[in-house]
Amino acid sequence: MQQSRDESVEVLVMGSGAAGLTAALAARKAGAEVMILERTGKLGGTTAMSGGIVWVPNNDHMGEVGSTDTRDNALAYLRSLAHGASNDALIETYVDTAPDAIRFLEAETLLRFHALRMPDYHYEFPGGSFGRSLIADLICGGDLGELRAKLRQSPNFPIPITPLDVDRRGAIASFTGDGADGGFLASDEMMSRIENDMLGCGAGLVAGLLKACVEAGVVLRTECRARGLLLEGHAVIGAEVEQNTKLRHVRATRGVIIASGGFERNAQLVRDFVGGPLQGAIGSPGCEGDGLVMAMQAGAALSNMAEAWWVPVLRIPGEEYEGSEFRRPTTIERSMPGAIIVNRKGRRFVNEAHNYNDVTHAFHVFDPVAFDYSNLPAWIVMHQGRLDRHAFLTRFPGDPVPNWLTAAPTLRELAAKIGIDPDGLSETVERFNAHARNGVDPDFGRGASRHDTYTGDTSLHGAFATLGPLNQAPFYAMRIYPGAIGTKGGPKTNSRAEILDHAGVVIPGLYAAGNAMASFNGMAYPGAGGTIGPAITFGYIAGRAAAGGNI
Amino acid sequence: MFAASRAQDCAFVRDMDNWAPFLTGYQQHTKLDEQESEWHLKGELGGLTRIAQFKVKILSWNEPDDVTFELAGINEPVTGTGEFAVSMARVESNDLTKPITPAPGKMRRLADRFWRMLVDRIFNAQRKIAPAQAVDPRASETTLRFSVTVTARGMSGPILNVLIAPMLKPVAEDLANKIAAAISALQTRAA
Repeated sequence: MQQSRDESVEVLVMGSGAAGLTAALAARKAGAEVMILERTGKLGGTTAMSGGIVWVPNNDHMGEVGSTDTRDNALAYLRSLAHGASNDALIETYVDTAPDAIRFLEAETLLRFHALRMPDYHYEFPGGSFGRSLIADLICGGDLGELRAKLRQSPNFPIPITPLDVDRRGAIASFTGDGADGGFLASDEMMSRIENDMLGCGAGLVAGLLKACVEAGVVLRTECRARGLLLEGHAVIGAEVEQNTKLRHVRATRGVIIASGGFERNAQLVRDFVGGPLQGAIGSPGCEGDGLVMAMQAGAALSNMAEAWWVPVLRIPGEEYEGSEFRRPTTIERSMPGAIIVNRKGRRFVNEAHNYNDVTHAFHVFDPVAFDYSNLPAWIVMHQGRLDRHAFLTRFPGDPVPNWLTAAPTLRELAAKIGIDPDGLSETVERFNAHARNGVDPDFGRGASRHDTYTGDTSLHGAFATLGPLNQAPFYAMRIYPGAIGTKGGPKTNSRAEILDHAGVVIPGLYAAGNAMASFNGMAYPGAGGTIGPAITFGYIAGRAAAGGNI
Repeated sequence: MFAASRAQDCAFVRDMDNWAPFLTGYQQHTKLDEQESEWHLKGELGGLTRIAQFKVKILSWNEPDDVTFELAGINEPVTGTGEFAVSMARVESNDLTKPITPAPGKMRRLADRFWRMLVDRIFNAQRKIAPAQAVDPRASETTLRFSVTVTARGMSGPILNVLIAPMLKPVAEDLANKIAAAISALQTRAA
């Protein structure tokens, strides 16, 4: 490897997702010269592939949907999810700073946020609320100029939709095509958006951040990978950077911010740290733990390493994203009436409609006697009525039934085809159907929470939004896996996003934000946008702290 | 336009094994019978590549002038028709695709550029090694045209049609050019 000329900046940011871009913008606005390094050829990280929702308690927009919040309420809610694994000091930092971070973005970027009616993932817990999930308006991709081609594309949201389209129509049912106009958005509006290159979801959020960074004078380097930190004693003074097979030193006189995402794409690190089978990473291909490894080399203390932002995922055979097998995250696939999830005994094991993070914990249940995972492998099982009424992955009602669904005329035959216990499946469906007809699920409480019904068919009343019998042949099955949006362990930080060593002492010049930092939330996922909200907030904190501004 | 007789062109096209790998995103094909075949093609959207499966049925075979066919998606609500046409030499444009839904404006232009770039990236190497078009004095010059129309239906149809339309023209052009180059190469070897 050749060595090329060294460079110097004031603040060096690794990663170009929401955390990195917000950190860069905050540092730049605080007066620092800033450079962003992105190891892939595309900008936006996992954020650009996401729905782009930002969970911000006590935000300024909650009144738009008739909700209110207080600091105490937000703290009570987050503490109710802690299980002793959360970092209470950082919870307070988050609740106190997140609304300011959004105000900062609204002041310094084109981004304009709106509150969604979407309830918290544990709305019924102490302090639970709605309106904490924010989404930005659509952004015109053409405004990015030459950078437009470098914006990471989302395989999950390839067309310009926004969660606001769905939320304003009364939740997700409209997304399935049940709306009066046959869909969640009028065709002419969609055509207009495509023609004008409008961007929604995570791509829109990244576009807004990116444009602001460029206009502020932040230097962007793609296909430029940090390989190690430059240390001077205990302090970090820059990074060794690889670009075009050449290595050089980039000195950072005010600080290095690690915002390079999680390590879910690094099989070795996953095996070393993550606390359960992770069978499908859906984040950016660059999330291989570069930042984690560098922080460890600098002596950082680690925390929350076993946890991830979990999500059950499905795989359509043959689908790939940038050369890697692609897995699709699930929501309505699990929550619409007429579908259940079973294990190899043909038994349900979870409230299928519950939030994706917490549902996935049930996939990791371990039987100590059998010394095996009780609920792996697992399958979604559904009936024809489910497919007739609602979308399932890329298949819409009326479309041909794809051959990636296993089909059979009876439940017993379906069980035989996928290799699970036919008696168990038959008994499970019989019991589920009997209760579903009455709108109850005494086994797992499906339909009892506001979240369950929000993600179900809201044209149906109460728990029937998610509960319905499987009674119309043929029946279908598809294997479902415990996947992750990203990992949530990493270097420990303080309330200034400074990375701490094993003695709890700050490593001078080293900061972290986003999925690269140890999440303060332990195993919890408080609501939609629970990853990007902290990413933006601690990016904002890290950028200002590194630049030397007031926090 | 290239040097070969219409009969030679038809003989080449008749056996899909000859030209199937030239199709953009080609993965595999299976002949089900004399009329029907099943095709697996890899396409890309939003950075996601996916293998689309189609059934193709020959509708008419008017040797040596043309062959017409229809296609239907196995997993997607997509239908279409197409034609290989061989005619005596005359300079013609290969711009014979018929996108169903025009997508005017900036996005259309961007998408068009994107797909051209993609096709170039995938097939440029083969183009470079395509043999020069030698002229067999025994053969007359002919023009091979390939046209295809694809329509997505169902709830997602209107959106998919906007996205599909820019893909068709470069795919059709590319296939026709590669077949022409292959037939020319055969002519050269035969000579």
